[in-house]
Amino acid sequence: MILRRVSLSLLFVAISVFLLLSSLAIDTKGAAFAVSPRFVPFGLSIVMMGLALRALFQDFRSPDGPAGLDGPAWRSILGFGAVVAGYLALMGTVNFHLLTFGFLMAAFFYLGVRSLPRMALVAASLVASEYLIFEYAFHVRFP
Amino acid sequence: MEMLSNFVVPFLEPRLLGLVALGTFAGIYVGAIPGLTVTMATALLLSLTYSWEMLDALAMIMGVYTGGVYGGARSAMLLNIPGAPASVATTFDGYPLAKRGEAGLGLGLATVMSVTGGLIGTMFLVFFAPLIADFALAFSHRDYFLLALMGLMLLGALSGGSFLKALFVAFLGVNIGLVGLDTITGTPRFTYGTLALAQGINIVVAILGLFGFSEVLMQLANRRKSEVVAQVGRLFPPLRLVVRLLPLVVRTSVIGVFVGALPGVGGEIAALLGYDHAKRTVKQPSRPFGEGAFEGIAAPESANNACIGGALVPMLTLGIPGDAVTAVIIGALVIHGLNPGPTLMINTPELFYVVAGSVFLAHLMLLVFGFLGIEFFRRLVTVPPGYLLPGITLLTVIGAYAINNDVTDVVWSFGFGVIGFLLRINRVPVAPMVLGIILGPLLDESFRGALIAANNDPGTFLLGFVSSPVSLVLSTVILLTVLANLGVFKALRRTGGG
Repeated sequence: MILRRVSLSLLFVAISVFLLLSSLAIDTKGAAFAVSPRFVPFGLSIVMMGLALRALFQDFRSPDGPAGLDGPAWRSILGFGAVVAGYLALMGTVNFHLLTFGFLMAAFFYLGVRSLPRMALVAASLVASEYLIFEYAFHVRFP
Repeated sequence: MEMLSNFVVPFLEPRLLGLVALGTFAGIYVGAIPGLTVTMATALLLSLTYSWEMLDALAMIMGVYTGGVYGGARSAMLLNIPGAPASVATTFDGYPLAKRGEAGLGLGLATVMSVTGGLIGTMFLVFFAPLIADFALAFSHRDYFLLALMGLMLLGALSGGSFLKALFVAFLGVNIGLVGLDTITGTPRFTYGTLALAQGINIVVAILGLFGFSEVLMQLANRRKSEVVAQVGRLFPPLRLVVRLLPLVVRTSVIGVFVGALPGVGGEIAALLGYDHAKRTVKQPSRPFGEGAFEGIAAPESANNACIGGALVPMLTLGIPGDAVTAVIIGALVIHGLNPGPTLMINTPELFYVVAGSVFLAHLMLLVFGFLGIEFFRRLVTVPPGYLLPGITLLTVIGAYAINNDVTDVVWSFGFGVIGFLLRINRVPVAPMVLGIILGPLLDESFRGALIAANNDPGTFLLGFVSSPVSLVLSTVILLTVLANLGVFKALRRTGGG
């Protein structure tokens, strides 16, 4: 319970440490510190660390935290995430418009739509719009 | 009199009238689709209108520019995805309003207020252009730094109860905005030796992820709990509401004009400052800000459209682009053999007034096309989630890809989506991160530029805040805002009262 409450502020602490170390690696190009490209990121990461530690302290003392998500909600998100990840992974290997049609059909089905003709019609309309607006009119070259 | 006759040319010439109308209509849809930018559309138009008459080309470009700035509000309100960075502030109250079943009223109000702001901006362009140009030229690095600080003051309005975490997220956004090559020295920052990061993270890619994909994930997480609001409500805002909002809209439009006139500062900052102004000055909003307040829609929408008039001032009077779109328009002027700069107004004064007339006309066209198109757009909220969520995901993919024709941007966008989702389920708002990404580069460059201008002497640097009139005004506003946010004035009133 405590870990769930403080997880975000712990993440904030980790991010600020990472940014602090990254900002120290920025080359100052021999410029005075205050006008160097390192100054603002370095200063900000110090302030961020202070904020993160303060938030951690507050979350630790606070009796209640965010409600969090239950199992079915996470399953729903991870399942949809898997469909999207598959779409991204196949980008560049399969024709983009065919892939998009396939992604839409899979996503519609995953989200509970069961009318196949309607699914195909909506997916085809979206792919056609995407082609006409982006590729035909604005010359976007899809992978 | 001659000025007026040139101003009304686009109204009286059927060809110009038609081109402005066509441009405005197309611009609305370009603006409403995330990933299609007004800059992209005007650049494309530049190649199409290469062989056209100068005024014909300018009339159409002005239509696209005006329609595009307005169009971004539609996806911002209906899908929580700003069509353009200038519409980010519209999501704060626009989307909650749509979720309350009042999408039609929100879109109608945005249309009326965009038109009002745009017309005020054009009037400023016509009557006060030289004055505004002087104001823009008086801005130093130090003033840009103060302007960025003023923008960050909006954080108080966006923190949603967790100020510490919102501040952290905003500073994280500033650091994200600094990713890439430093514009002053060319030094790589946070690139970790990768070429993909050297060009920085595009703000549109971040916005699409933080607002669009995170919204998809939020809706998936709450599918069993949330009730789909399948109603869209009335379309036309009541006259009484419009009249009540008018004083605020006039003020935010003036903010928009002056912010627009500053080179390199665009509609996104104008809209954020407009929203901030509304949040600070409206004591009794129609609803609390962030929950569908009409003032939260009217202020940013009027400010970003008024920005158009402001951005045209330095372009037409000095030959300096106010934003990316006006930079493209300068290209159009050069292509047609004109020399943008102070001589433009001396040699071709008619051009100035025809451009201003075209922008004025385009805003009037917005009123027609804006309301006609609302019926089509507002049906989006009635689309079942089974179809809507994959549609939003596709829009995120295509929008992110179209920015640089690069799949890496799509991956970034989804990464931002996951970050946005994790923040939102922990009740931390994502808007401060966007604020940071927008203002970060301006804050960093202007701070260092001001320090360099002060010969790296902190004393001279600090003295500048009170020695220049513009800096003094901006510093005073910031100081008063900080004091107000800390509750100092309330405490003083309490002490005085008893």
